[in-house]
Amino acid sequence: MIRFRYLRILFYKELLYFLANPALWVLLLLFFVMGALVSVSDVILQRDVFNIVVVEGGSSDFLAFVEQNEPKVSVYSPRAFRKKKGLNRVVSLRLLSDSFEEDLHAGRAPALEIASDELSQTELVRLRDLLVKNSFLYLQVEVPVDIRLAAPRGDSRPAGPVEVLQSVEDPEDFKRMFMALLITISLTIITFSLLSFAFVEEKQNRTILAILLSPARSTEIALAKGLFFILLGLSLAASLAGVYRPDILTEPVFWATLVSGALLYMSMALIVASFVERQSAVTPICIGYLFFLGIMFILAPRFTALYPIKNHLPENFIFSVLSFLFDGTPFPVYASFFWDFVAVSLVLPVVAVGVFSRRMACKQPAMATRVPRWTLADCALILAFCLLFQFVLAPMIFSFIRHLPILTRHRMSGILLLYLAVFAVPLILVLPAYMRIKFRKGFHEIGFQSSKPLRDLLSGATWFCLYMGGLLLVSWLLVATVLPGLAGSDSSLLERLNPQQVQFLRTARNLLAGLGTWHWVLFGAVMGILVPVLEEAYFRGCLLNALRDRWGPGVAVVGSALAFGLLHMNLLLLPIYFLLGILTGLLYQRTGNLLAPVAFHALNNLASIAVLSVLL
Amino acid sequence: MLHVQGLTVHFGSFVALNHISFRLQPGEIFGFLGPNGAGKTTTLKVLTGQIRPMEGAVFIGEQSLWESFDDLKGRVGYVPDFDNHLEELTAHQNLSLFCRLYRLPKERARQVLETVELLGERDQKVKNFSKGMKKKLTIAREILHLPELIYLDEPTANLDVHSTAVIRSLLKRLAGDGTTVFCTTHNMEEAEELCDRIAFLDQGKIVEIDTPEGFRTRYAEPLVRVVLEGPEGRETRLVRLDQEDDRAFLAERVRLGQIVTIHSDSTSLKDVFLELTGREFH
Repeated sequence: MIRFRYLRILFYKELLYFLANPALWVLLLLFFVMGALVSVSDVILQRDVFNIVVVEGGSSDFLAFVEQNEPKVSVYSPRAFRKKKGLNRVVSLRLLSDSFEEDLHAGRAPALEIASDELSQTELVRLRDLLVKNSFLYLQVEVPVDIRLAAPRGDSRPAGPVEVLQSVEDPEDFKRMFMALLITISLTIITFSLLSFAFVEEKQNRTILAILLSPARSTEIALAKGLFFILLGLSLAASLAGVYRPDILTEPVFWATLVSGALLYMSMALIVASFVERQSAVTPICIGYLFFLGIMFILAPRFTALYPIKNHLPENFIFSVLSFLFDGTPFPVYASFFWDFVAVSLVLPVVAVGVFSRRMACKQPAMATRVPRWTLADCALILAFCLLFQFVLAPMIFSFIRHLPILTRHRMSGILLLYLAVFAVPLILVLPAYMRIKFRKGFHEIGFQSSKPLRDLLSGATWFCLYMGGLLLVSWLLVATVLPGLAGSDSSLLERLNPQQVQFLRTARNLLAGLGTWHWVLFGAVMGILVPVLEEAYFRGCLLNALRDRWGPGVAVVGSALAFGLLHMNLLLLPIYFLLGILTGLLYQRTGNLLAPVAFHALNNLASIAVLSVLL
Repeated sequence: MLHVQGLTVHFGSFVALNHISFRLQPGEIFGFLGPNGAGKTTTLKVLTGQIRPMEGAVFIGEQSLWESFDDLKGRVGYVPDFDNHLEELTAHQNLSLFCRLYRLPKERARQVLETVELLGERDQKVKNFSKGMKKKLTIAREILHLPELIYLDEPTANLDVHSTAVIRSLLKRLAGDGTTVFCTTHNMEEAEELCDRIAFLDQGKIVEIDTPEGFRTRYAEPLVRVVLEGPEGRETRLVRLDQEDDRAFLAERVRLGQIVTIHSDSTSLKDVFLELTGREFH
């Protein structure tokens, strides 16, 4: 498929082009310098806003205002200031000596006393620290200033022991955040924006046409360019991280995160480049995306409805992992979102490269009479959509709709929804559309031939009876032989084998208890009809056919069964699902009609519902 | 060598190519001649896999274009009507990239640069090249791998006399070495001078295919302009060779030795096009 030789040549071409284009490396240098400067600089926190009344010599009142973003002292009369800003935290700053200026000239440290009715003692201490530490900024003096706290007046505030304030805002926190953000954004800009630009530039200049007509293939062109920019992005990100915290570079999680992110961005860039022909079109996309990111990061923390969107942005993921790493707290690699992200970033490039090479491929006559067949690429595309749906779209949708009355009132429907999201809903969305686009034909194309439907349904049912009989026999044998050895333990066998499963069953029991008849009917209809039809259509109709075309029937049955088992994502039940997959695959091979495995699958699902309803 | 059968391309309701069929012999220079918008570039885009035709079949040698596109790519050269070089790189860097892609020795890049007279500018960036130099570089790139078939889309449009001459003689040399040349043009003189055979394309259809000589003899008016040195001074007369009287007149004057010169009013391909389509070539 992909020949390393051409990858290498095209990679070298990218390198030459990069070296010949100073704008690119100036940009990289700029990012690097910015990161380096930030990581060596001290952080000034200007989150504390105090209005300071300077009572100089006790003669007149002035108010010094420390602006948040401009470290300077503006002097107002207190009344005018209060009117102007409508602020209420006023601190009086009384000079203990005669004149501030004289002290400075004499080289003495001016002594000040601060007092306030509107600040707690802790806040006063903090303000004192702040003034002492940054006196050169706030008071515009370069000598150390001696600032004392006035004895608390009155008894409105407890005088208690003044705690030495450990600032809530750690300056390092701010730096960490900045560096994490800088690394994230530089990765986005290089591996998404610049890469999209580079691709579309090649398309617009049509240099890609010349290379496409050489022995190199579009997949190799896409990958070489993508890998070059990934390498560029990774080296910038790594050098930024290395300047700030060199020890991070040895963390595997750091690299996994960056590589996943870069792959994801490369896929996004490839998909953009597949459909966009001109640079004038890709500019608004890239700039718009950066703008969108900025808005999401600034605004999303303030609007709850924006949260799910922000949480599912790849930038958010990279940013949070980097924050974790910089923080020094060990990163929980078992966090499900981490693996979701890695999985998506491994699947998406395959899809993106496929889309790109399909768009770039030699265009065959539209009316060429060829028998359309399911290929592995089709199956991979559909599967990628399902995974994307399950891990990205479904959680997003769910977080939007979970407050709907129907879901809160009937918790059952919530469970159904979750279950459907695994496979049925994405398949409903994608299968008909895919068949329409690819084959311009109906559902029979994937194996619902109906020459003898009744016979096939019956054979499905027969196979199911045999399977059930076998299963019962095996479980009886298990009960008779294995169980006695386990007797005497407190927890049940299931609990020992898989505590999570037990937890799930308990939750399910709580939820299912007290359901009405209609709920069961609905549940049965979905599990007994919709789910089997869709799952069989995909695993047997598409996947098995595609595998058989390529590697023959044996590989097809085993492969589709394995996929069927793995995609149910339940390790304990994997053997059972695998067995089910093998049986339905054989059944389909024998009858050539999908109705037979559908019947088998439906009966199996209904049986498990029946067992559930009896047991719970 | 190239066999195109019933190629049809629609853009919406506009029919860009309407059942085009032709066949190229190895080593011939085939001219695809027609006004702007006749479908010349569209044909080339189909042949290089950029545009989806509605129907048709294309064979290069014995292989179908669409079934074995990857195999055929290395045997075909395509000089488009635009320049698509890596402009930031030098001419030599551009060519050596393609040398590597085609698995050719580096020496080959120098050779073709010499062929197209660009050896002196080999280390200049392509973005500083003139239009003619860029075009020559494109041709150099596309003959690098010694293709069996080379498509050229208006190779000499907007070029000066010298560059045009270089390119034409290069194409003749290629054809002499056995390369099949497929060359679109809207320049009648070029087609006449260069091509072994010419297809006239108009509004998406091939009007006629023949050699330039064949067109001329078939569509030429049998008319000669004769300058006579008679007793009453010099005189010019038009003589139709397909008429008995005129032939007798000419024979008589030849016998008397009164003829100064005879010019044939040779028909140009322009006239042929006018004849074929009833429209002025523009």
